[in-house]
Amino acid sequence: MRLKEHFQNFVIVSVAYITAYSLTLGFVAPVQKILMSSVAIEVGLLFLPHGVRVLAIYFLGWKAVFYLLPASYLMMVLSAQAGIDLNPWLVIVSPVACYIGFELVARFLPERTPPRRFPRWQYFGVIAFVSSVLNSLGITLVFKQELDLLVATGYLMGDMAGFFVCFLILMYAFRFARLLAKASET
Amino acid sequence: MSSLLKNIAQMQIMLADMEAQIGIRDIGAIEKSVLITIVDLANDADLVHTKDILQHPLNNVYSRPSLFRALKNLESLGKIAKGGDKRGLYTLAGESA
Repeated sequence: MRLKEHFQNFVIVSVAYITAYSLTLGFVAPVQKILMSSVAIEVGLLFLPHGVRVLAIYFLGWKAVFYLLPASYLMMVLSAQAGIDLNPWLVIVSPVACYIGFELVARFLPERTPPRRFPRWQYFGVIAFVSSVLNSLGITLVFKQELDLLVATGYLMGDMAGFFVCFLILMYAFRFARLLAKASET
Repeated sequence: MSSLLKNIAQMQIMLADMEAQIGIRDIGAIEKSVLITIVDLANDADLVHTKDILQHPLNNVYSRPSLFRALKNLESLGKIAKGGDKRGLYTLAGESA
């Protein structure tokens, strides 16, 4: 792969991740703080970047782990400014867990059975779920050194809800782009 | 084709599929016309014959291949379904009914 293509992929992944994380940090986290103050703020109940991670890993493979790292570290620093203290290891654990989840699903549940030639969103859902389980295990271990099922479930719910909302946002973005194109034609 | 373009195309197809499954995928003018025709004809009988759809005044501005394609699209979108024992019979499906 050419350097230009690497750079292009890196920029796309970084912009998508930063946008999703900013939405989570600037909008979801404060709302969660108001509505569900009993839930730890580190456990995002709608974690949009999980959708970006799943898409990046699916389309770009292991390289996406490296593309995700700089944006993840940047957002970790910004989270610390916002009062959400995250462990630096999380930045590595999450994309790696996502990649392992993707590999497991691809190995045990191959998607492309003929005649279908394109991925279905449910398939991404399976990848998101398995990655999230691994991510939850990883995060819980990093944070507490012991498995807290309640917290792990919180991470799982946040990741899955985030994945679904992220896909909905993308779907409406493409829909809006189509409508704009149609409007400019007429 | 560049891999970026290929990935975007795949993602767009996947999201279009998601739209169709959620039931918010736009349908074209011909599809709309055919669907309205079927709704109209379904008042008289539960099953609607292809011949009647093609001859409906609403559809006489469209070519036969376009109308057949529209029928196929509506079927794949789950708006209509084949019905009865004979060929060429359609009925409204799911929430369209």
